[in-house]
Amino acid sequence: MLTTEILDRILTRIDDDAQAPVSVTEAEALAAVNEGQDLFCWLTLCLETTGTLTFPANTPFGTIRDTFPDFLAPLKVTVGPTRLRPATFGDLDVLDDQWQSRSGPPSRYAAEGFNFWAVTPQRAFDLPSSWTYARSPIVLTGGEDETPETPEQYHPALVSYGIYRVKLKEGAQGLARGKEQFTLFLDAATEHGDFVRARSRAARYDTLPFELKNFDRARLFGRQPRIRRGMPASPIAGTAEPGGIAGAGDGGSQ
Amino acid sequence: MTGDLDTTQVLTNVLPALHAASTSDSDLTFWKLTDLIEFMDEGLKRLARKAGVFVKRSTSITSAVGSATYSLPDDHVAVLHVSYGTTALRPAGTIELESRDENYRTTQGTPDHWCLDQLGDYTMGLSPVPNHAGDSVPVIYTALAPELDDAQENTLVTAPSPLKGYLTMCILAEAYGREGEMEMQDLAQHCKGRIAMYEAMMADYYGMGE
Repeated sequence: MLTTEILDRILTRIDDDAQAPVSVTEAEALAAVNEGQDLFCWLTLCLETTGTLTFPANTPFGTIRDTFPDFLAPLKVTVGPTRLRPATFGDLDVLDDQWQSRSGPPSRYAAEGFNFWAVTPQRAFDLPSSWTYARSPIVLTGGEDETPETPEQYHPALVSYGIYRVKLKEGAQGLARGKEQFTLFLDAATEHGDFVRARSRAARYDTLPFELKNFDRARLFGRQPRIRRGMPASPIAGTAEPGGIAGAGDGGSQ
Repeated sequence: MTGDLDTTQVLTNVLPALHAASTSDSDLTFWKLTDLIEFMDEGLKRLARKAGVFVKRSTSITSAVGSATYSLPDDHVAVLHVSYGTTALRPAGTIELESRDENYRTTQGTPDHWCLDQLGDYTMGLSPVPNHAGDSVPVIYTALAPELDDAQENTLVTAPSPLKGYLTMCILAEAYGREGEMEMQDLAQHCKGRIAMYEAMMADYYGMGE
């Protein structure tokens, strides 16, 4: 699906004119699609790429983003044919308290936060390493023939997110309508995240997608149990209530 | 720096959701530009507590003979790793240090442990107390992001572009949660839920902040 098609569908489905929108601008809808694509890719780690990061000679630490500006999370690091094992600083200390000055072929690495790596042992010369990492998507500009990088079968989820996002500012009924679309988006991200997780396990990747199904969606949709005098709260978890979102949470108090 | 997130883009993209055409205070009507910047800055500070996303290494600390405690960097949130030169030090609590040596606060030698408890914030202890001056004590720590100031002298955050969505939700949650004519608590609560989702995801990928 082209970006322009996604934008048209968003505008049409909020009862606006796709050719001359009134209630939202095309820039607003495009920003919404970009935000949705960013979130989808971060939740699912569905986009991956491989690049070269050079470990400087005798240097156990460095930064990532100057080499990989689109870095989200490490998936696999190799030096030549050797795969480096991921480790925490605690692991490295237990294995060798001199790991910061140990020379030799690298065997373990640590990637911390958005922008920090450590490696041990180190070589006495600059050493290229190959990083396979989850990356953020290229920003959509709305140009002709442009297609989002997320899998095509999930492009409708970007339409859903776009509708949700432009309705968000209305609050009340507009927000309630938007939340229905956001539920569809989250369902799609959960489904694809499960797929990527299985694929990543098979490839023995170092980072797996976030378990979105373990996040309590009631925190997003703010559903409270309906309590009447003398009656317990709704006994059926997930029961849709007027104005509520079916399947959007467990119906419990959060 | 390459790979930095420009928060001015967040401000531009959030304007329609605030029913504003520009970031001028007259256009924003119910808020000021400085409000929006402060909402983002507070969001980044909360994120630094929730997830270990901003990790730094400081080499500014050097040993002093007989000095048992050292100041940590101002922007530190939690200490991840401490070395003495290139030798890793073990973290320890007061009870462990006392059980090894009840005079651990004065006994001199080459440090092999570091501790934080009973020292107050921003202070780290070494045990044994260094008996040599000028040795480097590198610290790796989770940090705060550089402050986003009202004058917009710093607008960059070393973070991936998708963090813009998080900052957008921080602005909307605070803007619409604030008491006033534009207060919309349902919207604010939803955005706070979105913030919680982002933070849970980042804590999963990058570890806890503190």
